[in-house]
Amino acid sequence: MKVSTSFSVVVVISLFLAHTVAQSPFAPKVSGPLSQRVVAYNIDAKYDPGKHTVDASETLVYHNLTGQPLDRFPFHLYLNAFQSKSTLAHEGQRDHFFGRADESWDPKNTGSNEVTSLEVVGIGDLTKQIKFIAPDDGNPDDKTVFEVQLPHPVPPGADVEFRIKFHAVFPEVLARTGYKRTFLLAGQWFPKVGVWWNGAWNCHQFHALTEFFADFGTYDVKITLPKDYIIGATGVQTSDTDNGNGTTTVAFHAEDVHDFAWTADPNFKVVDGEFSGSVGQVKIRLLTYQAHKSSWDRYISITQQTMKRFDDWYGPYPYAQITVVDPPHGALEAGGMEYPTFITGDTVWWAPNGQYILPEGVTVHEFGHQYWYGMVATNEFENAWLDEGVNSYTEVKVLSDIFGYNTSAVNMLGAQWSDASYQRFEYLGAADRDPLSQPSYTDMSFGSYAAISYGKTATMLLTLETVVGEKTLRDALHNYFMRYRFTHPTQEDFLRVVNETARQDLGWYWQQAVYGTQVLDYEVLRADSAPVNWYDEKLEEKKGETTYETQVLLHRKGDFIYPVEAEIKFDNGESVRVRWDGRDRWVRYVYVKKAKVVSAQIDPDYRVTLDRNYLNNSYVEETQHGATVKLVTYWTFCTQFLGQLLSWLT
Amino acid sequence: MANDGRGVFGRGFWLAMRHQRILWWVFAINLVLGGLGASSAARTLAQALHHSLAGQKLADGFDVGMLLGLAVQPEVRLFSHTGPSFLFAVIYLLFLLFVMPAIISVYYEDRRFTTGEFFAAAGAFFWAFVRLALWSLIPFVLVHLLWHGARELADYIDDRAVADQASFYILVLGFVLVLLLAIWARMWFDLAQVRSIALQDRAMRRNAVRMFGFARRRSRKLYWSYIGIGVLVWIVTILMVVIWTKVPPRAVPLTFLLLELIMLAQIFERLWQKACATTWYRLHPEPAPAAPEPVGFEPVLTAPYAGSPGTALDVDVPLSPEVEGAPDITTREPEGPKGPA
Repeated sequence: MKVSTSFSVVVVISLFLAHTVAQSPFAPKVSGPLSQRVVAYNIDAKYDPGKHTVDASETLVYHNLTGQPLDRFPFHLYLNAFQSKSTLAHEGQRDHFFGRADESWDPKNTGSNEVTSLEVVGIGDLTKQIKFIAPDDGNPDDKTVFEVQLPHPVPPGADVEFRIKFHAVFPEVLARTGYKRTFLLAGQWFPKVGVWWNGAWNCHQFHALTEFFADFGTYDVKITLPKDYIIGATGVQTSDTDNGNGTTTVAFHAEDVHDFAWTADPNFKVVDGEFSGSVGQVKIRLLTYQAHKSSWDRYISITQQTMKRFDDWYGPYPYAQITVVDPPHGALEAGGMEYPTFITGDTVWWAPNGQYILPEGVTVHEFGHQYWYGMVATNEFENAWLDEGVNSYTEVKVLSDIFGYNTSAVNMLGAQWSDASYQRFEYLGAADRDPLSQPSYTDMSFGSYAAISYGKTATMLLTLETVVGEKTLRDALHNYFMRYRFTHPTQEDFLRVVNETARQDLGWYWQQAVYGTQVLDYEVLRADSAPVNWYDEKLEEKKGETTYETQVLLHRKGDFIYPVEAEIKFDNGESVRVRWDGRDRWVRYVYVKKAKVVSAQIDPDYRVTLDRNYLNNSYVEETQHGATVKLVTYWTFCTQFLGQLLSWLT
Repeated sequence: MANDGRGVFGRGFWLAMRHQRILWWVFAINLVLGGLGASSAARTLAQALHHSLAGQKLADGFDVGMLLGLAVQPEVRLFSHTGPSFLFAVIYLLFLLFVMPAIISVYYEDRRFTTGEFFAAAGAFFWAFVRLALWSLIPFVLVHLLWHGARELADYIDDRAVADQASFYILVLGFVLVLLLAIWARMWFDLAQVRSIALQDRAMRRNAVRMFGFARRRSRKLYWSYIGIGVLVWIVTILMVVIWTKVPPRAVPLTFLLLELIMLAQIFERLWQKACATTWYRLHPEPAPAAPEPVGFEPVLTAPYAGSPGTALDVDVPLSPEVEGAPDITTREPEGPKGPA
């Protein structure tokens, strides 16, 4: 019996050693710590795929770096948002963006996170001290934030260790977490402490509009699940232990990150790639499906190309690995999400070449979040534009660089669509609803949040290029990244860096574009020519001989003041470019030439993308039929075809 | 009658071609109504784009962003102009419903009608054809329900299957099945239309019921003709679309030509099928039905081969051209109307 036991121990140890890979979470030329590590999580979780639940024990060591004693600690319990009376459900129903949850509460939407015990080392069991709070809206039914009051404060510089046991139930995938068939995306799945920020706890409820905010630290997470499951997670895998009972325990380690997400599915196919950047090799691990084989190379290629541009333009990606998850069909709600060193893309098996939205656009966007959220960890609850918007801007830059500016979203069947135009279209939907600076979770609606946080920010930064130059803005983002990576900068930090890099005070712009809701709209009111000697009864107009006075009137229709360029063309081939500061409501340009005006156009290069109406930006003397005729041709055909389709009844 | 299905495809084609004036008229009306349906959008677009350079991005290519920008501009709101398109599409449906009895009559008699004859034939059976169209809604609604069921099934499978394509193939299979059923139902009601004209029988429920049995038992080759015509026309359509994608963005006249060729092919598809159904009915007269209910006015048109309304063709008289003594209906010179009228 003894021999037998010893033998078993040897086998287990051997197996453990065989599966243990001592791997750094960083790229070869990087060593930590990179951040001020406030938290150290150690989680041991067991996943039940039949019930879609996790039972786990969590140890959190919190380092009090706030400079003051702390006796109250708030925690997020995000999965409790997936209940019918939560703030998330209420806001989702209000804004009709929740899909199936809009009309009635589907039991499949239900998720929960129950803390079964909470102990503080040195103090004892505080489970009964758990008190749910709703700091944002006072909703007594929202259980997404709880706090515990310690009997005595944790002094500055000291540590406090929480030992928590919890039971998590996942919804069918919704708002970027949950299961679909055998697939699971486990995001926001464990009790997570709030952030002491600007002299107070920052621990918002889970809102429908916005995302998350957390402190940097280390994560050591073990997940036990059936051994046929393939798993991916934040950080790097450090071990894989066969438990001999049909389950396996996979361990992950991550440093200098502020969240931990994981995914599992027995049907995953693993496709590996790598990227060689300025700090060495980075492994790209794609978790995908056989049915998406046509997208495998597209995923790997776009990730490599994106990483290269971010590395060249903004700064190095310091981690050893990026895990890209391609969710299965029907799990759209899991697609397009970012976690540290872990992103989810999106595609369909029939995704045609020539459209770069799926999977390229999504992948570029989510990878960008490794910078604008992952490392520059802004407060997503309050300043969503700093992560989503700045990231949408860099998405435009990357996609344009790879696929060409005008064809960066779609280039197929004779149609083109630029990503910049896509962002602008989003912005047009709610151009004047909410200022960027407003706490994002208080935006008017989901539509407004999306239009402002994503579209408007990208559009206003693209527009700003006309003042400071594309290169300057790129340098500004580089400086912003290098200065604020692994910290929690504010919007003022971002604006300050841009001002500094551009070597000018752009306050006039920020006041309107960030703090205000002014709308930018310029128009050509008038462009015509009349003979100077108009009063001469014997006047005979001759091209090239008669002298004309040309009047061009430009009008600032909106309240947004912005310098614009205008181009005036004459019928002798001459063209003039003028720059108007836009401060007055209108400006008149007068030219006396032996030529008549042909056209006048504000922003002839379509770079002031904040201008909400391009139609009135120009006036051309000669009637332009091309676009009208083409659109009417299509429209006529569609009407004819519809009629012919209906005539099936005859 | 085992040998008489041969050539219905070709005979129908030549019958439709002999009366291609119908095709051109229907196409012209379709085009005019299409243009009217687009006129509201055209006016707004002209106002917005005629003196703006913004349209160049649409004229020199097809900038989706500019189109969407147009769509959301308060002064344009492009997609708010879809109402007239729907209205004129419905008007086209009513127009076809009105002229269809005349078209069937022309095909059945295989001669050129005067304008008066044409509209008299149309008017005489208009309400009967409206009733028949309403009856035809029953099978089409059933087919639609079947399609709905296929989609539900696809959704159900999509929710459970690991492979993305599973539901897609279910949908494709469902679509093909539904399409085949819809084509069969259309053929059945086309035959009912022909019978109604041939026998001057306005009892449309009886026409539908009789032709249901007839279509079920004896129209396999006609059905294949319908499918063949559909396949052929859709191959032409796809070819045109492929060519259209190669057309330079500024070549709007060529685009217009290609799109209208697609429409012409689509319209011809239905007329060709109607011509096939007419030819088929003439080749396969049904057993003598019960005497029709008396009609309240003089029938305007009669069938050239019908002895008299209600007696139709003598089933013992072979009419297939292959049969000795039978008139060759594909080459016969047009004749004036015969019969009791």
